[in-house]
Amino acid sequence: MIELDGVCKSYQKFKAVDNLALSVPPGIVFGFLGPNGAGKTTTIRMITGILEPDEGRIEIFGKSFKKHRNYILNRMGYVPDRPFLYGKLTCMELLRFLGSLRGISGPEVKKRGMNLLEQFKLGPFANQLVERLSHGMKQKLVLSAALLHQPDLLIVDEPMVGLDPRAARQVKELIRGFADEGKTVFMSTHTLEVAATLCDRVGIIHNGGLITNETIPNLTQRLETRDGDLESVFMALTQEQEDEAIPQ
Amino acid sequence: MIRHFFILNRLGAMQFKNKLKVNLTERPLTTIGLTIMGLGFFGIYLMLCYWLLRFIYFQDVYGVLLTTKLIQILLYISVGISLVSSLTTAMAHLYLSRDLEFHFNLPVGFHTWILHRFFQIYIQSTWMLLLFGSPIIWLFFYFGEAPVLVNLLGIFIFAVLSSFPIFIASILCMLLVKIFPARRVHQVFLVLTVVIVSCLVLIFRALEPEKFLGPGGLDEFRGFIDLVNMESQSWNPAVWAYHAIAALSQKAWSQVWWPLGKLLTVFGLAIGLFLLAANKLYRSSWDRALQSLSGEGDLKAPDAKISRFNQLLSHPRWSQEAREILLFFRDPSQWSQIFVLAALLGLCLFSLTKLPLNPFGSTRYQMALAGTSMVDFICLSIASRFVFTSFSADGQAIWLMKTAPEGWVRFMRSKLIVFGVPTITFALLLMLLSGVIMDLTPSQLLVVGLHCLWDAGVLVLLALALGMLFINPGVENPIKLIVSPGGVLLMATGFFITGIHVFLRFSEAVPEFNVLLMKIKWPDVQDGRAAYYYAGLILIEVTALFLLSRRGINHLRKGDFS
Repeated sequence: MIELDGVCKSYQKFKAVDNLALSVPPGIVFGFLGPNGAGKTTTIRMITGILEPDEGRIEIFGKSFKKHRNYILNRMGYVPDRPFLYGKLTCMELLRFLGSLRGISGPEVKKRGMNLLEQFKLGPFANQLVERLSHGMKQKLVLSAALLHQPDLLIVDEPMVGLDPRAARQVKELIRGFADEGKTVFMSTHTLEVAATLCDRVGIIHNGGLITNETIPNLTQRLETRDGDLESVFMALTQEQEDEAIPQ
Repeated sequence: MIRHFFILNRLGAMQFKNKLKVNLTERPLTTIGLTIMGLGFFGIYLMLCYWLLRFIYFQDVYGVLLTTKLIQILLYISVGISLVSSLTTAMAHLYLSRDLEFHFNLPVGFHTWILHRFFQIYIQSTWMLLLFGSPIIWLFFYFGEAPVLVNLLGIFIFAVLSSFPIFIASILCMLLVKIFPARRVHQVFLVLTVVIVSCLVLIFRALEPEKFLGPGGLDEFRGFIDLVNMESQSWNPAVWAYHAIAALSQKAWSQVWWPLGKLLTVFGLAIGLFLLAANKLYRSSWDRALQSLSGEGDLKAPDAKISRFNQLLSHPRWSQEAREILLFFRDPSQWSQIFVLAALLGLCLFSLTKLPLNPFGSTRYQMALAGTSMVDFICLSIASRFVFTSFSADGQAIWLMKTAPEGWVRFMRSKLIVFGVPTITFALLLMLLSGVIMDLTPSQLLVVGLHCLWDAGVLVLLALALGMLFINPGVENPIKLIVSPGGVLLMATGFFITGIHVFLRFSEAVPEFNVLLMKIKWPDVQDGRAAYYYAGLILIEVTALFLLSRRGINHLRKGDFS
C-alpha cells in the first residue's frame, strides 16, 4: 500500500529524513512513532504529496506521485496535526468545496457530508463558519473532510490532539472500523497508549531513520523489555540511538 | 520603563535580523539581488532628487522660494499619506496582532508597552515616507549650506509631524472598537474606509493637481505659488513644521522657536492624549476585535448567510472561483477596500473633467496617452493589494490545495479570474471613461484602450507570478506583504515596465518628445518604427511572464508552507 525506499529530505543542512525505507501492507493500522523532531511529520508530508523528497522513491497504491498524483490523492484522505482550514466558509461549504475537487456531485456531498457531520456531532454547526469552531471541533471537521470521498488510505498526523475523551474514543473507533473494512490507516502519534491499543504494526523513526517496523507483540518479545509494554520498547529503542549518537 | 521600552523594541530588531539571516542562508541570490535592486532604486531616487532640487533651488530670483513651496507640499502630503496608511496599521497592531496575548503576559508596564506599540505603528506606517522624504529636506538645507545640526533638526521636525496622523489613527481605532459591539468589527472597517476615502479626497482636492497642467500652473510661476496656499491654515501642524523649516533655512533663529514650540507642545499633548485613550479605551477592549474576528468557540453566533451562490462550491469547474469570492466578501478587511477603489475612480474622473484642455483633438489624445501612466499606477496599486497577496491570503489552509487532486494551474486561474480580471476591467473602465470625458474619437479610444489592456494585463500577470514566488501563508495581515521584498520587487518592476510602455507610446505620438528622448539614447520610434519595438516588448514580456509563472507554480508545488 505504502512503499518508501531510500527517501531523504533535508532543510538546509539539517537532514530531517535520512534514507528511510518503509513498507506498509494494506488493511492495517500502522502506527508511526518517534520523539519530537524525529521526522514523522516530514515523512507524512512526503507521503501525502505536500513535500517532494530530495532522494528516494515513494509509491502509494503501487504508483508514484510524479505520474499519478490525482489518482493517489483521490484514494487518500489526510488529517494534519494542526487543522488549518478556510475560516470564512461554513462546515458544509467546506465539504462541498472539497467534494467538488474530487468530482463528487453536490447532492452526494450534501448527503455524505451531513452523515459525517452528524456522526461527529457537528450536525447543528453545518452552517456555522469554520472559524467559530473550537480546536477539537475543527479536528473532527478535518476528519469528516478526509473521509468524504471514501478513501482507501487514511493518513492521520497526531489525531488525538485537542480532542476531549469522548471525541478521542470516537476517533479511535472510527480508525479501527476503517481498517476492519480492509482499508489502511497510517497514523503518527505521540500517545503510546493509542498506538498500543489501535495499531497492528508500528514503525519507530528516530533522527530521520526507521529503527524498527514490527508488530507490537514481536517488538516487546524481541526486546524483552522489563515491563513488556510499548512505552518501555519506545524508551529502550530511542535511548539506544541516543547512546550511539553520543561521541565517546 | 526606558529599559523595557528598548528591550521590547530589540525584540523586533532581533526578529528582523534573524529573518535577514535566514533569507541570506536559504535564498542568498534572491536576497542579495533584491538588496542591490532596492539600493539601486534608492540611489537613482537620490540622484534624481539631487538634480531636480538643485535645478529648482538655483533658479534666479525665485529658486529658493520655489523649493520652499515644494517642501510645503511635501509636508502637507506626508500628513495625508501617513494618516491613510496608519489607519489600517494601527488596527492591525493594536487589535489584530497575534502576539497581543503574549505581550500582555510580559512583566512590562502598560504605558511602556503601549508606547512601544505606538512606535511600531509609527515605523511601519511612515518608514517609506521618512526614507524618501528626509533626503529632500536634507538636500534643501545642504544647498543652503546649513550646518549638519540644522539638517538634523529639519528631519526631526519632519519626523515629529509624521507622528501626528499615527496618534489620530490610533485613538480613532481605540474609539471605534470601544464603541462598536464585539461582533461588529466589519463596521469598524467600514468607518476606517470612510476616513481613508475622506483623506484621499482631502489630499486630492486640496492640491488640485489638474492646475499644474493649466495656464496658471507651472508655466506661470505666480500661479504655481498660489496653488498651495496653506498660510490660512494656522491650525495645521504641517504649516508650523513648514514655518520652522523655512526659518531654519533662512537662519532666522528667532523665528524658529514659536512654530517649533507649538509643534513640540502639541506632540507632548498628543502623547498624553494617546496614553489617556489607551488607559480608558484600549485596556478594556484590546482583545475584542481579535475575539470577534476569530470567534473560536463562539457557537452562539447565528448561522452564516447561505445563498444560491454557495451551490457553486460544488460546481466541477467553478468551485475554486466560488470559494475565492465567498472568502473575499466575508472578510471585512478585504471588501471594505472596494470603497477606496470606488473613491479613487470617482476622484480621477472628477479631476479629468477639470483639466484645462484646448479644443484641438491631438492634445487630448496625447493627454490620454500620458494618462495611461496614471491608470497604470492605480492598476499596479490594486494588483499589489489584491492580486499579489491573493495566494498568501489562503493562509495555512493551503495544505488543502496541496492534498487535493487538482492542478495548480486551476488554482492560479481562480486567482486570475477573481482578482486579476476585475483589476484589468477597473483599469480599462477608468481609461475608457477618461477618454470619453476627454472627447476622444472612437479610434483614439480603441488605441488607448488597447494600450491600457496591455499594461494592466502585464501588471496583473506579474503580480500573480510574484505572488506565487513570494507566497507567505503565515502572514497575519496580507496588507503587510505590499512592503515585503516581493511587494517591493513587484512595485519596482511594474514601474519600470509601465514606464517603458508609456515612454514608447508617448514618443511615438509626439515627435518632439521622441527627439528629446533620443538625446539619452532612446530609439527613434517615428514613422511606424514603433511597431517593431512593440512586437519585441510583447515577445519579451510574454516569455518572461510565462517563465516566471511556471517557476511560481513549481514553487507552490514543491514548497513547504506549513
